[in-house]
Amino acid sequence: MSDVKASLVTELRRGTLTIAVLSQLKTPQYGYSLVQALLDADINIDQSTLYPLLRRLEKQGLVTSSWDTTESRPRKYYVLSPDGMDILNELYVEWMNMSKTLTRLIEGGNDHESS
Amino acid sequence: MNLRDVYIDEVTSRIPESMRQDVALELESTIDDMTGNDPSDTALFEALRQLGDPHILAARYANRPLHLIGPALFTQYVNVIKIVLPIAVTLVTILSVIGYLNNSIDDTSWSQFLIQAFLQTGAAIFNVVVQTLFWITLTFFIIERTVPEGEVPFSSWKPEQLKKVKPRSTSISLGSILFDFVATILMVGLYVNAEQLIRVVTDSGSYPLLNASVLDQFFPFVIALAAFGIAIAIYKWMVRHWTKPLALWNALFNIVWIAVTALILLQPDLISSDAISLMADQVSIDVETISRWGIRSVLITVIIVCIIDLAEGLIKAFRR
Repeated sequence: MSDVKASLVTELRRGTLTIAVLSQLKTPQYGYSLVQALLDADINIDQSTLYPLLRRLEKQGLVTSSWDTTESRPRKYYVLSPDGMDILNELYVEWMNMSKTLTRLIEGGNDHESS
Repeated sequence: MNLRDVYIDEVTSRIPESMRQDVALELESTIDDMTGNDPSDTALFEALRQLGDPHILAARYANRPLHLIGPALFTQYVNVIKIVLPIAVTLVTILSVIGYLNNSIDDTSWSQFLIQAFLQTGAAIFNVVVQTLFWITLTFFIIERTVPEGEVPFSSWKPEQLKKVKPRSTSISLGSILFDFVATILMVGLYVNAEQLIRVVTDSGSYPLLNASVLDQFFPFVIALAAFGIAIAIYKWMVRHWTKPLALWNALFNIVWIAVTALILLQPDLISSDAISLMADQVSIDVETISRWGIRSVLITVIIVCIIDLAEGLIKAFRR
C-alpha cells in the first residue's frame, strides 16, 4: 500500500518541479545552492534532472545564466528573465486554480457521502 | 586525471561540442560544492552517486530520448510491422520453395529433400524476419530522433476509422492465405517432379509410381488450376475477409479442383504398369484392388477437404 502511495506522490510532484525551480530563481542561484534551497523546502530533486532542466529553461528563455568568477571557485548563476517571471506568475495562478478545484472536488465528495 | 574529471569527461564526450566546455565547468564546480572541503574518495563517490549514470545525465543534457521508440510512435511501429512482416515472410517462403523445387533432386532421397527444404526455408524466413524488424526499427528510431518535439509524424487516430473495421468472425487469417500459396506451389512442384518424388521402393530398386505421359497430358490443366489458386489467394489477401463474391469464386475454385483431380485420378493408366508388376512381385494381395482403393481414398480426401473449404467461405460470407 505504501508503495502505491509513494509512486502516486512521486507522480504528483513531478509536474510541480518546474514551478518549484522557477520560484527559487527570483534571486540568482547556482546549481548547488538551488538544490539546498529546494531540500530546505523538503523538495528532493534528482540532480541528474535539475542541471539539464536549468539548461532547457535557459534555452526556452525563461532563465538567464552568467558565470561568477570572483569567488573561490567559478559558479554558474541562474536567474529568472522577465519572460520567466511572467510564466512563473501565470503558473502560480494555474496552481491556485487547480488547488481550489481539487479542494472543492475532494471536500465536496465528502459532503456527498455524509448526506 | 582524477575520478571527478573522468566522470565529467564521460558526460561531456556524449553531448554536443557547443555545450561541452560550459557543462564541464558547471559540473566541476557543482561536484566541488557537493564534496565541500572533503578530498576523500568517499565524499566524491557520494556526490557522483547523486549525479547518477553519466550516460543518462549526458542524454538529458543533449535532450536525447532515453528510449528506442516512444509512446507517440509505438502503435504505428507495431502496425507497420504487422503489415510488412507477413508480406515479407510470404514472399520469401514462396521464393524459397520455388527455388528449392527448381533444384535437381535426382541424387537425394525423399527425407533428405524434405529436411533440406525445411531447413533452407526456415533459415530464409528467420533471415527475413530479422532483416524486416531491423530496418523498420531503424527507420522509426530515426523518425523518433528527427521529428521535433510535440509534432505527430503520422496522422493520428480518428473515430471514423472504426467504420472500416471488419467483424473478426468473417476475417481470413494471414496464416491460411500463406498456407494457400505454399500448398499451391508444393502441389505443382510435386506434380512436376512426380517421377522423382513418388516412387515405389522395393529391395531390387525403385520405380516411378505414376505414368509420366499421363501426367504430362494434364500438365496444362494443373498449371491453370494453380494460377486460379494463386489468383484466389491474392484476392483473399487483398480483401482479408469473406465477401459474397470471394466466397462464390472460392466455391467455383474448389469445384474445379475436385473436377481436375478426379479427371487425373480416374485415368485408367495413371499408375504405371511397370510399378504394378513390380509391386505384384513383392506382395501377395491383388495389386489392382489396392491401387483402385488407394486412388479412391485420395479422391475422397480431396473432395472432403474442398467441400469444407468451400462451405467455410460460403457460411462466413452469407450468414449475417
